[in-house]
Amino acid sequence: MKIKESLAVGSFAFFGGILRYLIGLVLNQPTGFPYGTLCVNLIGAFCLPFLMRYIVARLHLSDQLALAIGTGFFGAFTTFSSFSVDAIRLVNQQQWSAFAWYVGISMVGGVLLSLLADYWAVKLTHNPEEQEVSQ
Amino acid sequence: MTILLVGLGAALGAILRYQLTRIGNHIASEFPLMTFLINLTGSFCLGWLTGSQLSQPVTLFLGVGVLGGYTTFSTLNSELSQLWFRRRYHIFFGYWLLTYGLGLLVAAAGFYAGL
Repeated sequence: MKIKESLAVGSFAFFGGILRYLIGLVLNQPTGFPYGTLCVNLIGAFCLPFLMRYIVARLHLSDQLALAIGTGFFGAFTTFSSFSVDAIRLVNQQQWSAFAWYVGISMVGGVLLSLLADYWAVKLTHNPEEQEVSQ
Repeated sequence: MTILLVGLGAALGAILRYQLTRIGNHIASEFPLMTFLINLTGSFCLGWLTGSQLSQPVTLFLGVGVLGGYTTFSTLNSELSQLWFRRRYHIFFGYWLLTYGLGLLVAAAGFYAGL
């Protein structure tokens, strides 16, 4: 069951979920564009790969802490279910251009930010000068 | 109080996602099946929850909390990026298009099932 790992994931997810909720309260408009969900999703899409492929190695984080921050915090901070249901709400309200922008930016922006994070992480890891500085 | 409901829900949802992903690791496949299924089932359930218009605390706990913590956008894109860097372009485009296409479809299906 991995009880200890589950508790680590759960406790970090507690804060990830709350932060998503608070950002949503500030940025999401009940009848308008879901800026809050878009914002947390794009931030998470960049931060998760960058964390897992750079920060973990650089700061020598333990596997358990990496799991808690990655799967727990960022997994719960970002959400796919709110994305899809928000998009359907825009369809129901016949806000076609908002729907197209929301789905388009999420679909393309999310994967581009993850690619950028992975690319940057690899570049930093294999840059000899960068490693020199860290010593 | 509402903040605690959201946080506790997110913790439960994330633990469920973690346990399911661990089970999924035993399936030898390059297609990230577990995240795929998690995001689709979560979208259906949140659609249903939104359609049935339950009381606000229930919606906050189950919707924003449990289902928000259960489904994930960051892992989806991180997996897509890994597929791209490993040059698994067919799986990349299949996973990308199927997740969004079916995700929107099941969210709508859940919504109308809940009305």
